[in-house]
Amino acid sequence: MVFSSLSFLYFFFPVCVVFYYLSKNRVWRNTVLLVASLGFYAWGEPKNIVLLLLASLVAYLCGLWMEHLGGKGRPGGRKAVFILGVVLLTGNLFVFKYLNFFCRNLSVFLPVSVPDLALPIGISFYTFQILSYLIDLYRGEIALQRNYFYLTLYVSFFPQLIAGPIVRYQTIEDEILHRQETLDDVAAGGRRFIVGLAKKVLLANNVGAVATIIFGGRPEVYGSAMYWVAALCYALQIYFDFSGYSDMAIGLGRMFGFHFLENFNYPYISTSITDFWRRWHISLSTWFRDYIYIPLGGNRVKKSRWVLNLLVVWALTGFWHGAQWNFVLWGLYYGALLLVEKLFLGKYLDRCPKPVRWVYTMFFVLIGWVIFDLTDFSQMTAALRTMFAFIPTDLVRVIAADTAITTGVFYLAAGLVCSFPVLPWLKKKLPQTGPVLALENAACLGLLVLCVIYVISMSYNPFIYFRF
Amino acid sequence: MKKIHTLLNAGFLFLLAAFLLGGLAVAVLRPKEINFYENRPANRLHRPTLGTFLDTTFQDSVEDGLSDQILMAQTFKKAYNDGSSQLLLDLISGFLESHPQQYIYVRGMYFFGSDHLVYGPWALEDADHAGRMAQKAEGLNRLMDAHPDLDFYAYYVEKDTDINFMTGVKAEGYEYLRDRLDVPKGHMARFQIDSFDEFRQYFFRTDHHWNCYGSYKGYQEVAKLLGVDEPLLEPQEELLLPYTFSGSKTASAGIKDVYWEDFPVYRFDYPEMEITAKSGPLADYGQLEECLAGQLEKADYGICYGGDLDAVVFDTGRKDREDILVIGDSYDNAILKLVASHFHKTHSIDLRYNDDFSFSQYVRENPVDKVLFIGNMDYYVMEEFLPED
Repeated sequence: MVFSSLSFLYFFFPVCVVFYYLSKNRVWRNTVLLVASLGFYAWGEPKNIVLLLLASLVAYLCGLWMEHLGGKGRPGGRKAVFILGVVLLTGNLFVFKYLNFFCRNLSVFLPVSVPDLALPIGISFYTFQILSYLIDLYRGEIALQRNYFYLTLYVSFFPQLIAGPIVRYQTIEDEILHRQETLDDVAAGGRRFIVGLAKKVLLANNVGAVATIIFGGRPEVYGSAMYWVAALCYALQIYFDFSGYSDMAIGLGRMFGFHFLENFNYPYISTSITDFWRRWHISLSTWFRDYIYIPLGGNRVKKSRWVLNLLVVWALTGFWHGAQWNFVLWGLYYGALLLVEKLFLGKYLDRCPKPVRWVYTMFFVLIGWVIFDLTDFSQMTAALRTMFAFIPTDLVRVIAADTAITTGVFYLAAGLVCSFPVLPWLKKKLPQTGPVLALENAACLGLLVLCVIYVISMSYNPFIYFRF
Repeated sequence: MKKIHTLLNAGFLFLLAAFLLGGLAVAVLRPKEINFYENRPANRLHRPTLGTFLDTTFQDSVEDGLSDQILMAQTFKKAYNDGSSQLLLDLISGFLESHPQQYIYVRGMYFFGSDHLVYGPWALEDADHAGRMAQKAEGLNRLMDAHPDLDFYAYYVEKDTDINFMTGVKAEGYEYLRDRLDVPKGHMARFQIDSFDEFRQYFFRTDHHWNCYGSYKGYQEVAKLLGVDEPLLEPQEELLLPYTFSGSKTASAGIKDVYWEDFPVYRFDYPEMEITAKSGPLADYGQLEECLAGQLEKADYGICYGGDLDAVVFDTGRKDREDILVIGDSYDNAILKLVASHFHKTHSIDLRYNDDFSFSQYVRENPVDKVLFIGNMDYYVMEEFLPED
């Protein structure tokens, strides 16, 4: 089930909220959330729910065992159990997400058959969440969760289950049992949810259609300029798609009294690649930083080792996004860019005016999105070649090839405006008075109606981050 | 201030809950039977079973059901479709006018000549049209071989798919078929389209069918093909239906009801004939007079000239004339009564609605002298139009 489906908006969401607030105490409310979360997952993948419950059980049992061995003063055994848990969980992820890929590549050289396993929805997200629980527990940064159902609630909590953000256990450790829901929080969560829904339904889907038209067309029809427009449209699509989902997740969490950390901070105002990755998918980049990069030694090692560490982390970051070579290339592309910035370009960049730094950043980010979007290497290289080949664009041919591109321009303009922090700026300028809040509420309700109109009328409604 | 904020937040949540729960309540408690906007039975919510839940068909049905049943669903859908279509048309209208000689793609269809919705040109290599047409010809040849006592005729209606209006290059489907179909010399003809100007003259702007000028020309050519040696019917008058007409192509492009045209018709003085469908006698084939009187909710090609009936027989009572079997697609609807005026009995069969049709059995039970195959390229390509012997 996706948040922008009618099943979620008209059935799951209101029914869940009503049952939640009709429940008397924390235990019952958590029970409602757990049942709802499992139901939410089962709605889309009834059979794969077993996998999720087993992964959660592995973390739970390993946690208990580690605690037991730690109490008996057996750190070696504790470490062995920790490694066992990590191997089991990453093994599960490997089998269901990467085995097809490896077998497909091996089959070029060896007589290996491809098992053709379907990717369970959200497996990358929930595996990383469970791993963060196990690692933090091993490091002694969090307390053991002795209740399997509460641990499963953390893993399966529906707002962040299938497309993030990757919520660490320590973020909601206290809130599982000791959270407070307030009317203001519920309303703020509702507004945040609607804003996220609008990002997804009104902006992401419509700018994405322009990118699909151009990348799916013939390069000689669209020319270099339109390929850059397509890259821009895809950049906006993936931003509004994913940040919209994160907004909805954060908003829903807040409606139930949970406070997740922000996952995006206007990445398209970044003035360097380093800055971009501080603002884009924050929960993933901090996960890799804390659980892979720093344990590998971070930057407190020899330069050659540090370079290797950085490239390994970014190759893994790319690979996390999908079992395709283009994702690995995309990760390494960013690894290389960050290396260049950290080694020498950074100090020159700092001296440049902000607009120049912004243009530099967006130039490389747009190229990055082309690598990310086009999984077929021949299509990707053709697109990149077209972008740099200075093929003239004949607007008459472009419009004649598909007139839908003309309406896409409206959404592109709206998307560009909304990718800058206009709303926070506006909020800061306006006093928090009753009329302003009333206006905000009315605007949100209007947006909701508009989103429902779009959802009912459009069948094309996928979330890009579902496949990760 | 805090109190006002609390009140406003409570009001916001109340309205949010009312909108969503109200929508759900209407879907569950007062489901609609028919989706009038899309002219079909409305999807409804079903009870789940373990099997339908596990294979997710239940989940899909809930989404479909809600999209038809929630409060104002059809109004929302219509508002979106009409609004987005109108916006698109407004945006491209200047472009269409300034580029009349260009195919301009609009949601699966093309505009050409500023205001005409057309299909893109086909080539015989596309989708194995050539292979399928050859198979069809073989099938028809077998049928003709098995019935040497009957006179067979074929009429091919060229339309926008048969020619690239920009280059003038034709698909040459007629020539390809003619080379493979074993009808006697002079027993095959076509409705020929060699330019956009001809197409514009003879076909609707928004529908895939020929208009009254095209169908009348088709009737004249078919009559000549069949060797009709008496004067043909002449139009008594030309009238406009009191309706705006958004044809099948507007539906394909999602611009139905926001892009339309006039519907001109000819009125003829048909001879007396009894018309019988499988269900029984018909007052008329088509509702032209009701359309002209504005008595119907809407008018289209099928309503006006007669729909795609599985079988219909026109009987003029003139036993001195021959009997004919017409096996065709919807293009023949507009000329059936005209053709029937020159025969004793005219049997019309649309094979799309006759799964168990047997040619031999039919002509045994309904003796005929002539058999006419009539249709456009689809008809000579699609397997479902091949009669089983």
